[in-house]
Amino acid sequence: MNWKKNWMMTMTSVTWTRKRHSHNELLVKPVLSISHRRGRAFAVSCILAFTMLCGLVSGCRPKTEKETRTILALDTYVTITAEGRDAIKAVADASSYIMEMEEKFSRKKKESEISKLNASSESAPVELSPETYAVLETAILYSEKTQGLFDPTIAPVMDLWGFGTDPHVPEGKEIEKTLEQVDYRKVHLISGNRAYVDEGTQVDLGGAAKGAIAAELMKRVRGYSVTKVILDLGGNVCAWSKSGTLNIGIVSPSEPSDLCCIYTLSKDREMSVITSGAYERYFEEAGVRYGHIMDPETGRPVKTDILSATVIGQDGTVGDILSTVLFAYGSERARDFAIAEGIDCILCVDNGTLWVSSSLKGKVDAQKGWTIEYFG
Amino acid sequence: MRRKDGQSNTSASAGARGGKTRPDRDLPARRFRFLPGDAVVIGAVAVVCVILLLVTWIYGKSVENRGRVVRITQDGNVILERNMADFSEPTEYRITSDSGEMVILLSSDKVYVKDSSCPDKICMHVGELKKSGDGAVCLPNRVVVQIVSSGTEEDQEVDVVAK
Repeated sequence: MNWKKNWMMTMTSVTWTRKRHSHNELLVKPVLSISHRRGRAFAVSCILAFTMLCGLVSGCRPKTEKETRTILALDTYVTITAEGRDAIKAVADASSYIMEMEEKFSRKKKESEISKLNASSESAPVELSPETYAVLETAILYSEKTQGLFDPTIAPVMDLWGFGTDPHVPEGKEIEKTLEQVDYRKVHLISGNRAYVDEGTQVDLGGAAKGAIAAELMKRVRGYSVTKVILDLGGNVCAWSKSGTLNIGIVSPSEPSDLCCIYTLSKDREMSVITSGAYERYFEEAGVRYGHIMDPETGRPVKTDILSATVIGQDGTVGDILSTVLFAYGSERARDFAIAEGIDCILCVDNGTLWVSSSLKGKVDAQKGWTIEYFG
Repeated sequence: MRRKDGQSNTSASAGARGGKTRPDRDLPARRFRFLPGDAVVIGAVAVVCVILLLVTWIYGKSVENRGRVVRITQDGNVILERNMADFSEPTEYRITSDSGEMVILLSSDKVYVKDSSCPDKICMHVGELKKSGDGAVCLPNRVVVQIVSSGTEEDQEVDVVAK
């Protein structure tokens, strides 16, 4: 019978203590001192109470606002996800910003800044918005750094191969002719955010612009009261979570419905995770696979042992350029370049190896079929 | 009985304090009056716990059973949103757009773009969509095929996929 009393006393110890005190202080003490039996009863009742609390908590957990929106823009799909008090407002604002940026960066829209730049000449340079100018400047900088392996004027070659329209292998002569148009040195930056191109040069900031847009989107969304933001610009990810880590999967280039590894983003860090590969945008002709990343030297798809190159960093614009560069370099040269430039990256090589920068140790988990080798 | 309880209590925790200051017969009257109430409280807590656990468990199950949902949008409008479990028989779903046609295969465990009129076939190259968060996009047809979360996001392996 005693256990029952103990139960009661524990469960209502506060009232008991108060009530009893006036009558007899001795009776208060058993409540507070815990004997073996009491201890057990106390523990059991605590567990029960805790269970109940858990039930209540999981049942009536306050819902944090969460908003996800997918839009087709920037020649790809864009998914914006935010969590927090102002999530809906934040996502709505970000969506309208993307549409604005689309107008600026698209080479296909006549009124875009890029179209104006492509129609410019030495005698009639165009004034660009600071955002566009900054991206162009970064693109040219990395063109110089990579001796033209990255080239923002490669677009005519892409068009020749029919990416986006009618993919086919063009004639060698056509390629030679088109290549004459390709040279980043034909893009001239002049002071006051102005620039012009030599005749026939076509600038397409395509990928590089996505990084810049993601950065600006992030800034806007984080200006609201939000706790988590995930931006997915056609597979280019930029993410941040105030509390708690985020798991960012990286698609397996050999089996795109699986992952090759998962990168864990620490809490309160904003990072861009950008992958370049030719496992999605490619076509096959006569049994040969042709990827969409072109070598400005040959005007043909790059030959590389890398299936996909992922760059993790704070600057999405640079990340976008560098992932393309690393992909094109091939694993050996890519590793040297990554070490020299201090790039955090994950290179999926066609023998099932993931070359991972040693600075990312402990943050990357290989998935089935892939083994990690650290370098640098 | 009263006496016995009183003794066991004092001996268990209050030691030898009991007897002298207060006669034994005074103790039980107040101390054990609540014995029946104890049982009620314990019972009530247990019942509430069990009910809460059952409710959360059943709720969790129902969410799980709702499972993965395939959502297809065209020009931003949802044209199909169905539980994947509905497709015990693989079903072909045809979409026509200004620029051509798409065939999407829907089944209970995977969804994929089987054929598309678009030039680049990126939507087909992404392969099978199985997990919540997987998606295939066809820009020329302006179609997005997605597997959307069933609500139990804790089960999601990753928050987002880079590709």
